Amino acid sequence: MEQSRADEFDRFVAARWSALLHLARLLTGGDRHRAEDLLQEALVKLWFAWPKVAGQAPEACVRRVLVRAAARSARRRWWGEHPVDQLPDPPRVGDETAAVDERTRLEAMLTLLPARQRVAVVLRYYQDLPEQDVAKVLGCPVGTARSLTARGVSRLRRLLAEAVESVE
Amino acid sequence: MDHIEQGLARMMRDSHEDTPYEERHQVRLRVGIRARQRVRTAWMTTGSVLSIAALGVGLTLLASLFAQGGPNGPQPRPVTSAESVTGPSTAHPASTAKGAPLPTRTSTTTRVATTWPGSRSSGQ
Repeated sequence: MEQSRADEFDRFVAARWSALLHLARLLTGGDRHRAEDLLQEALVKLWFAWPKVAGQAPEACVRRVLVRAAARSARRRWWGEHPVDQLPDPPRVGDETAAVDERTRLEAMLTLLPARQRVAVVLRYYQDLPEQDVAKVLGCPVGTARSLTARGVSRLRRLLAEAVESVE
Repeated sequence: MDHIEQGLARMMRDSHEDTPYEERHQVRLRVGIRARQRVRTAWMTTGSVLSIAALGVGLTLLASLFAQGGPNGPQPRPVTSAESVTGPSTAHPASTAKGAPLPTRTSTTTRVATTWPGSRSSGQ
């Protein structure tokens, strides 16, 4: 019984590890180590909830835990994360491959968003969740989730425009 | 969704690099699960011990309260017994112990009880 539970859990983690780590990385604004820590914490919690959620939607459960852990860890002061007006290091043309360049730029921009706005944007545009589900995961009313997403996108829009201007 | 939002969604998806689930991840996860299991067990044990201790203290207090309440029970009796001594009837000491008006009631009930056979006898 316990062995089959462990096998099932391992299969799920192995299958979804890459996608979940990418989600964690987006939620933390590209911090790979913090993303691994968050995913680890979320998966440990998932293990104890596994008998209840295995047959339903384990990914939704781990996503919810991940988002809350990301929001919680962003509130801790020692991460030293704070929004600033300008991108710290705007990527220069031709010094890295295009894919890495784009990823770095995206992560740098996401870092500049407040944690809840970042979570709302990632859930809406990467996870493709409807506003109701974003609100449910964030634990807030739909209107608040909509507002967080809109403000996040608006900020990213400005940052993208600035980045393009600085490259030109 | 405008082109900026579409671009944002595309960037988020395209930036996904395939990361395999390695042995070190599995080992770290197992260690994390075991550590959390230990913490949960410790919490549950502590909680059980505290519950049992609280229950024991509660029961002890309750028992001592009952023990104190036992001798206090008959203390009002001397007051009522004094009334029964002053009362005229010696035939019903138990009923007089309850209060002053009772002897009157008992006398009326006795009267009613005596009238019924009387009425029967008058009918006969």
